[in-house]
Amino acid sequence: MAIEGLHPALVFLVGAVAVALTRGPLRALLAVATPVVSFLAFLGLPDGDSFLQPLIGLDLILARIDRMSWLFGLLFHIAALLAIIYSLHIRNRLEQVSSLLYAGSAIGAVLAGDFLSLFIFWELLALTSTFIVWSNRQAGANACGLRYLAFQVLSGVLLLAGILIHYHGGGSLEMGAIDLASPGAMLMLLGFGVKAGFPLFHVWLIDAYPRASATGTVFLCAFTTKTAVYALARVFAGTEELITIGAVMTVFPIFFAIIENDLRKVLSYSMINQIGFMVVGIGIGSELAIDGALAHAFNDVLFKGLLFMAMGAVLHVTSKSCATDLGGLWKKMPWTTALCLIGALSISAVPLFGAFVSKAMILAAAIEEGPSWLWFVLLFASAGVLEHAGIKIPFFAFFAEDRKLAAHEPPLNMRLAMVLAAFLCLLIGCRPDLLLTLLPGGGNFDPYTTTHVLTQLQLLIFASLAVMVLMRSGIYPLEMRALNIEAEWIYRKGWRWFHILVVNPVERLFAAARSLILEEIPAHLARSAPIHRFFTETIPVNWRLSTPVLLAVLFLLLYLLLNLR
Amino acid sequence: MNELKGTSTGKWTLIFALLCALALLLELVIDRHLDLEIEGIFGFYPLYGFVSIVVLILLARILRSLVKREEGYYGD
Repeated sequence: MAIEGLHPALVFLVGAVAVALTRGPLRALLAVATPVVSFLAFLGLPDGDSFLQPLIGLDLILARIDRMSWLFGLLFHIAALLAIIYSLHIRNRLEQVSSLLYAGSAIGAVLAGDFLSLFIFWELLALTSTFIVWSNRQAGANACGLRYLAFQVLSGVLLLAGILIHYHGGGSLEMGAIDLASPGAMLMLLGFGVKAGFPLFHVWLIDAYPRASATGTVFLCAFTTKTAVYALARVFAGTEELITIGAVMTVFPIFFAIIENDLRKVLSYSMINQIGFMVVGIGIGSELAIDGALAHAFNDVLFKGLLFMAMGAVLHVTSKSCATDLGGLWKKMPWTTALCLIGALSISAVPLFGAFVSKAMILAAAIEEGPSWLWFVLLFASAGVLEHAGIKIPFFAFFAEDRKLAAHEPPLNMRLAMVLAAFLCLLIGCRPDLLLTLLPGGGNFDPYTTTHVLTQLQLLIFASLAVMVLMRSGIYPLEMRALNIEAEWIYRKGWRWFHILVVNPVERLFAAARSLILEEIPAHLARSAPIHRFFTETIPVNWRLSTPVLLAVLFLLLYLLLNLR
Repeated sequence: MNELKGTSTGKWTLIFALLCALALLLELVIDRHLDLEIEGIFGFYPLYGFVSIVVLILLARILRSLVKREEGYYGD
């Protein structure tokens, strides 16, 4: 069945053009066929390098198949298929076309065998995803898309600068591990970091994902950050700095997630938290840790996708996504509720669900190889995940106070995509060997030891108990209509302070200097009698003009002579 | 404005309490293979889970008092 000699990214490009030109059932058929045909082409790629493309004296490697790229290629095809099914009902040509191009770019990026090909797909990823943000025709989408694009472009510029310095310094363009101390490596790390949502660079994610359409976010959450995780695992595995960065990423978002009202924004914070676990795994760098990070990326696409789909379904039928507006939907949306609960149990790493396996691998690696504080931080973050993603999301959307919203189950295609994602979460949870054998390190790990099942259940049950106790006693922070400022403030409001503290004083200084040099000193000179007399009487009228010109010519000649070598 | 109305009461609380007790007491029965010394303390995981959430939520309350603004703060 495999198709040989066809690049999967090209299939998505053709699919996007076809979808742009058709309508109705044919368009739906073409959209679903795109990832299927692309997957067949993907299966037809030979091991090692193919699609070598010479470009200005360099050889681009557009497809390199090894265990890691194959795993992500598989993952992205699954994600693309699910997201396409989920968005079949929409009538937004721009969004559908850019979504297909976006998914294709992500597949191109993980197949890239050299840094320049990676950069090309990296930029395509940035551009196409921006159009997804823009295609949600709501107030503020344009400005939000521009802010999003600015960060994506920053990521691309950092990456390109890093690649060029790396190449100039004698490094190879082939995708491979790079030492952080080598020239250009830091810039590349930051370039990857912007897309992976490193602390302070994460704001584009929090800003844009809740503002994209219900369907757009399902695409967005699958590809950009996971491509960055893939690139980090490829290039910077075992870089110790990543352990600290990842640990910070697992912890700080959970505080914001608890006090956030918009449930899709809670999920965006939750994404950064989950990517934090992956970044920690990559930083530890042992075989088990890398396998854990990649397996967790695989699971995250499924359960985070499922949760975004469930919240998207709620948004689709009620036009609301804030905890203060939602509640009591379980009676009207039983399917969505059940599927959302599967996603919630999965992200909380409950045994029999996907993340239980991969998170256990990262935690085990943290004990074996990480610094001693790391395991405690990750355990704390795991309890935090349960609170904001496992309990808060389903509780405030489907249970809590019944707001008597008019609601019904979402369209069949949305439900189908959610069922498939939930099935895969459960499948990986119950048959972890299916995923583990695909991992680059072979995934030699047994998550289902009685000890681990028991300790994980203890942690989760007592964390839930704490949530219940705090809710009953009224200590749990109430959901309220409010906005919480964070790093975003620096560039959305902070520029005012930048103006007051820096720009305004400098401008005043310049204005003062200008008026002093151009107005006050000449005026003062003109008023002084000896100078006035010199210009009007001492200098003969006929060389008033020619003398300065002569002086200028002499000066230029002198300058020329001094510069001759 | 009680946002937490609808939290279940009665028999579910009892079931949940029994579940907690069961999870804790299983530790006495099951022979655990642990990597760290601290894991061996009786009730370490339950305590860690409980305390984590309490600390998390108390800190989140403080955080909210620092960062909360009205909804139209950024003008969009």
